[in-house]
Amino acid sequence: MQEEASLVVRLRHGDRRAFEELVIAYQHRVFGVALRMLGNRAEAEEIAQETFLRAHRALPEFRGGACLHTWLYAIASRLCLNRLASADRRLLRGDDEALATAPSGEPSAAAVLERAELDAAVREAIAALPDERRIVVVLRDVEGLSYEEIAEALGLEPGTVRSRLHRARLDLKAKLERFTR
Amino acid sequence: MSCHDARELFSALIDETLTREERADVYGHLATCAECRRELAAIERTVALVRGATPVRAPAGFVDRVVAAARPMPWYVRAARAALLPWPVKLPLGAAAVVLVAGLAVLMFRGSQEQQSAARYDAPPPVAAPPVLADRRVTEMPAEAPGAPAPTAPARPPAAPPPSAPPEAASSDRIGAAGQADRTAAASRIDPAQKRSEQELRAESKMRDAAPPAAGEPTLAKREGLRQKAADKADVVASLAAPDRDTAERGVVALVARLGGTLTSRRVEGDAAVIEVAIPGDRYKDFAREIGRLGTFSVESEPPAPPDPIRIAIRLAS
Repeated sequence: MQEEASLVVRLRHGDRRAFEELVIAYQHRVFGVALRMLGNRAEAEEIAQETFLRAHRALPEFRGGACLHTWLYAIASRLCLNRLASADRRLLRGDDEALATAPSGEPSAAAVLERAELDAAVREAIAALPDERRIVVVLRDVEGLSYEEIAEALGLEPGTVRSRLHRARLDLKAKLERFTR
Repeated sequence: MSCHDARELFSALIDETLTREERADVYGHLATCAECRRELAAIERTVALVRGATPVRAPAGFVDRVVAAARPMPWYVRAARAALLPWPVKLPLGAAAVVLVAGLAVLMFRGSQEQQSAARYDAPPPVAAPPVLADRRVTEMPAEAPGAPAPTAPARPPAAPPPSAPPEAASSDRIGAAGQADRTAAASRIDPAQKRSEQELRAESKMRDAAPPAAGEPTLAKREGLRQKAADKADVVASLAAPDRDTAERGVVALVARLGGTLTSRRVEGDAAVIEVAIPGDRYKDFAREIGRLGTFSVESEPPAPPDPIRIAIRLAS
């Protein structure tokens, strides 16, 4: 937290190196949110890049009241939801590269296949959720934000966050039933 | 607590966000309901599956691309991107630019013509001194009429520099460096020896004016003819005495222009200005009548019948 506060100070002073550190620190998380929301790597990279660029432009006005990562998630979430709501967006589901992601270590080929199958199932189950539920479950169960942080990032009441999260989990339970028996 | 009420709190229970009382109520119900225990376990496994999914990693080079994109673009990159605008944007912009350039070109062309016309009045090309005013020290001067626009382009570039004194002489004449009496004497002096100079100057003037006049509207051609005629010889030598010389000079220029004539030369001799004009012969009577309103007009010599065009040398004095 202290480290983040120091980074914010440097960012607000226009430290280019600090911006690079920010991107390094949050690239995977921001890209992960975008990919799980949009289901397409190219589109996710575009949104993730735009998230950091908007943050870069708005840094002088960043009040520091919110956590830096919450602020980034808020920008990314808004961009994703806007993109999903755009009329001309082509729903590009089925991302082959996401299926190819493998866990670290040296697992057996069977374990790799099993892990890939499970990841694909989870990804598809999340992708099938309604947008407003999907963003909540991604921020909570994938990115680990608290209810309060999610409420702040999405501009929702904490009760709404809890309700949407519960509905999302029930949907996921139904879709992933064969893996949870 | 009912099963429905208990299950509504399962997510919050997993996330440990329930109050102590809520948690006690839920656990109390679970102790008595096997179905709800199975439901809670299924939700817990689902959450574990999602949380255990392989984390996503940003593509290689992502940081470099973001940092590069955050740098301010050089001007040529911005220009190149602007050039690659989509047609629906670029086409109207291009059309607007063409219209703007065409409008500016028309304005500049019209402005140039007006300036050239002004230059013909204000800065006539070098001509020889008239016989009566053949002082070699005197060089022709640009018009000094106050308020007249400064010529931006000469009507015709001089073919050769004036053969007479260097510009400093003219400058000294203009600022009146010589004594008043001396200037008066020089202005009125008519020396027989100067007739040779007159011939020489006239020959040079003819050479300068030998170039064909620029093709243009008939009015311009007519003015060129008048200037050619004026360069040869003054038909009328006269003087105009007025309280304000500058005002009188502007009046003469305006009168000549109104009568369809042109100012062919102007020079300063001492404290007097000598202007030469050429007007159509049939307007000479009007000229002689109207110039009297500008001051005391005295004719020193004039032909029995006015030629066409008629060239008039007027000495303006206060």
